Amino acid sequence: MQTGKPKKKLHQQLRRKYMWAYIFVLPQVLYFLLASAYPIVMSYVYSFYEWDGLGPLTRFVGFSNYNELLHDEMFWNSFYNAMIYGVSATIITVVSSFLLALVLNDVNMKGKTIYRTIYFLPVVTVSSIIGIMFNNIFGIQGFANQFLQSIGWIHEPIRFWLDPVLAMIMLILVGSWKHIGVVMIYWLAGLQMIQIDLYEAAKIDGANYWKMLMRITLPLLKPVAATILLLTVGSSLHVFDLVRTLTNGGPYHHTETIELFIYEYAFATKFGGVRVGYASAAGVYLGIFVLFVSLFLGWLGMKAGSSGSSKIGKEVSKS
Amino acid sequence: MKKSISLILMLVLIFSAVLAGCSKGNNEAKNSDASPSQSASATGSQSNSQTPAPGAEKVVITMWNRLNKATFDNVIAGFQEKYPNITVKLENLPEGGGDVAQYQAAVNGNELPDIFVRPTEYSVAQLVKLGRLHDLDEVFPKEGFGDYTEGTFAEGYGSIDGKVYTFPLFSSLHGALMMYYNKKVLESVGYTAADIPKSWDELLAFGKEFNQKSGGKVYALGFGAKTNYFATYLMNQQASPITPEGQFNFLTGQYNFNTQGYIETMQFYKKAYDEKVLHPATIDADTGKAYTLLKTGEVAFMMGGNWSGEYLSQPDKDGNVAFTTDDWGVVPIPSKNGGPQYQYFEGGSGEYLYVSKETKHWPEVKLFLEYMRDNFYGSVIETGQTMPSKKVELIPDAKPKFAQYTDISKMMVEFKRLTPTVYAHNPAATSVVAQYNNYKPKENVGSIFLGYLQGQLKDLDKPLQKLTDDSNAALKRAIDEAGGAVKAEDFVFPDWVPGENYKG
Amino acid sequence: MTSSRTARTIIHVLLAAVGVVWIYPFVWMLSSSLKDNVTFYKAAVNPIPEIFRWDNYTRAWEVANISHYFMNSVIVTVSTVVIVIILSCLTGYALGTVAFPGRTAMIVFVVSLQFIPKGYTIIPLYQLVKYLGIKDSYFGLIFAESSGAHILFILLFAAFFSKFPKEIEESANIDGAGFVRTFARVALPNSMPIVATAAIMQFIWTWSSFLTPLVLTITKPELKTLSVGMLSFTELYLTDWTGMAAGATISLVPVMLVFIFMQRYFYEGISGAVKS
Repeated sequence: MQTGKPKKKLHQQLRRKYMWAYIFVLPQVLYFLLASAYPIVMSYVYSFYEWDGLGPLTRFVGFSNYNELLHDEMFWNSFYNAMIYGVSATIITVVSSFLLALVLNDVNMKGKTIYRTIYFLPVVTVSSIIGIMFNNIFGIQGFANQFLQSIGWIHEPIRFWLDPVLAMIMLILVGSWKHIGVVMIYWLAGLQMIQIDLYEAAKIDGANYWKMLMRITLPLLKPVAATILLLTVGSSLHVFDLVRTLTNGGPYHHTETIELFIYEYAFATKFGGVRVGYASAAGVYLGIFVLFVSLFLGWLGMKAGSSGSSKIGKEVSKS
Repeated sequence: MKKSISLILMLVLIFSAVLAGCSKGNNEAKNSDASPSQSASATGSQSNSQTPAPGAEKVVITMWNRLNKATFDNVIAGFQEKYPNITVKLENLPEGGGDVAQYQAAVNGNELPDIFVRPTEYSVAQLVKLGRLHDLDEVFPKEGFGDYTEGTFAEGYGSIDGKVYTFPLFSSLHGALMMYYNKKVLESVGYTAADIPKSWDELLAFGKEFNQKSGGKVYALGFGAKTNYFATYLMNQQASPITPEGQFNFLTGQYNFNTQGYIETMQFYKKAYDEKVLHPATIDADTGKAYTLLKTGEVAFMMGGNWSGEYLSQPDKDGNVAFTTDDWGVVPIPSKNGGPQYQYFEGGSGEYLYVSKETKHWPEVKLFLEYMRDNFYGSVIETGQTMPSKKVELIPDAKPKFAQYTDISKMMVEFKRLTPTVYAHNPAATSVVAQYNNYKPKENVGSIFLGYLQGQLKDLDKPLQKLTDDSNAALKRAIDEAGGAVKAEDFVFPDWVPGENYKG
Repeated sequence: MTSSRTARTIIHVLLAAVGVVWIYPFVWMLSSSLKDNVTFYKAAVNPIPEIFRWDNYTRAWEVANISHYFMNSVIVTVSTVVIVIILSCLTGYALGTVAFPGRTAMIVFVVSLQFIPKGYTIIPLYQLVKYLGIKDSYFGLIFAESSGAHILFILLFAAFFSKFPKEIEESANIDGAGFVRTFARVALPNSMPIVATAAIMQFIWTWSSFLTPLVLTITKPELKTLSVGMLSFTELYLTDWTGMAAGATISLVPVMLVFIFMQRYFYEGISGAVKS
């Protein structure tokens, strides 16, 4: 390679590079501004109007939508349902997938790939169709009831979708079933990042499985765990497809989550009218809530990450 | 690596293209399916016409139907035979409420098909005000009004500002509910048509005995409680003898849902459910499921509408169930004390068609409508769906497909009462009605009934009162926003007698 | 991990048993799709149909328009995948190899925008698509589906390209290749694993997308994708359960197959994402 290139030429080359970089980045940026940034901004703008979706925005109402929402029983109901679903589904998903990942992480395990595929399969399926299927499977004359009756566990069909508590439980279970596969993969990736020598060193010291789990695995997984928690909570609070096709908010609004509530006001598919502003305001509330939860979990994660790894480092360096 | 990816992707594409191509070949003029123009219009253009074949001028008219699927088949077939260059592309919208969203989006976006059955959520006046409708004076000149049942083209209903906007299909008596029974099922448990109950007490007694005698296998009654419009009609019709004021009291100009009529009706059906008179699947059934219950013999009685007769006379799709026209009969739904019951209506026709103002084929649409005007009403009687808008005396040759039609028609006459209408006091009320539609609560008596029947709602007073308060608040808000053009008094008619046809 | 034989067998048995229950809904779906409606209703437990009703598939395919929905899903998904890959690959390359002024600012801006509460963006998106005049066409759907910042893919590409040995790039420069040439001839071909990963992930996301096509195809039912079309199917053909199962099979199987064959890339991609 030549040395001592004239500075001017280098400068020119660099500028050309920058230009190309900008050109490469431009399409995505434009697309983003148009298709993502603009809707985000507008979703706030709409919330300050009373609008039925037709014609121009004429009725500016300030914060009245936000205020009205705070007094709306059904809004709080849907918020409450979203929380119940969010917390329960997250706990079940995160814990089950962790256990699965632990089991499948063993290098000597036979049939690892098959199991991994099986448990992952629900993830790649279409949520809305899963909803339709399960609605059928657990219907009054569906597979589940017929099966349970044929083995004599029950005599009358269980009204899975008609009992408010049961319907919510089913929703949580199906939602978890669908998601566990991908979270399991996250855990697996996290587990594989832990260096083998840590385990070897501990084994030499005579540690058994439980000790290793508690002293090495869990602490080192804290940052990964925080991320997983964050992602799972975020996605479960936004659940829509499954709810819409599984229970559609039934019975009588007992599984109506916030996304469904918003959808009904934005598109009025059941009855009542379209109130875009109202729906947008509810959407903003949801977004703000998710933000706070994310920030909180993120903060937890950072705290955990710094304390965990230093401890392990000390242990290992002792031996 | 790169090769296998692209190979697989290509295979997937080829596979799907082949499958889609196969199906295109098999598609003919099945109602809602694709003719070759379909793919052209689906890839982006909004026009309704095909690329014209050299020479012939082919036109495609789009039409939306939310009534019984076979309603327009005969008339479309006949028309297309007469005018081979015009195709009427019919789309049957989903049953049980699925059509609402589609209509709303189409109205909002001004993308309606050329012809469409009236959407339940909008009034004529609203749609005219929104500029969505094409007037139909050319199809229905004033001289012809007398051929149709009274009030078909009345101002505010069939006409707005003197111009006709609706193509009437069914008489305003359409929408009555009645009780259908399966003769074989009755007989198998040892009853005849004479034993059919006429009052609530009789129904309960009959139902309990019936269920016991059949060994718990067959229930007396079933219906599609999950279909909202149906549940609402049922509540309205059954509550009327108890509370003749109905849901909107024209004497006060206010809504009231928290009435004895609704409460007692809902409680009655809950009792019927608890005492095994009502089939357990009812709480989860839509109207389609109800037909199945009746046909497969799981219930003896089914609540249906005047249009159900036509459904029941059709051969079963699967061919699995042996159920023919001779196997069923129809009687009035038992009312509380066995007396009359009714639903309120404000005039106009029971069902009708609109034409979109944006239609690009008005001459062809006009041809089709004229053909329908001369041929459709007879087929209404023949299929037995309901009573047509045209006076039956003028269609003497039409013979219904099934004998029970006469019973149904007689009952339809008894089950409707005319109410006053706000447009008679103030035509500007259309904007208020439109705004009310936007603000009205997201519940109605049908949904409350379902919640109560399913056991989610334990107490009726609270939800019914909330519905009342929210509805009146919505009405007040809509009136206030009209800024004085419409007053609350416009909704008040002191000379109204609840339970009787309004004469004023 | 534990080395005790009994513990291992127990674990295997548990895994297998749970696994069977785990995928049983798909078995149910397949078997129901081949039953006739009466057996489906009366003998739901037995997974083996009495007679194999392949006509359920033809019925779902032709009568219920599953063929159209399938085609729509393919068109929209493939187009979206192509667009997203192009966008994120180009952007990732620029971000990963050139320290241009404003690079950090851009990253910070886009990432932070991911975190502000989004409100309910489907309504403005719908209005935007309407305004642009592409509402009732594939373009509208594809446009909406391709939206988003694609942070994940961009970061993946950027990380990959940034680790790219500088020497190769510089030798290409000496050979007279410009920025674009270097990208097209050298960087891109080697990034195929990432492309595959991104393609699979985007394919799965778009194929399952529900709310967006639900809203955008209300007035143009011909454009419905599979996930939305199935809903119409169940509403229209209320009691045709076996047809519904056939439709569900047709909808779910392609994605499952894509996944099973491309598993490796998928897992690599996710691990890569987790690490970053």
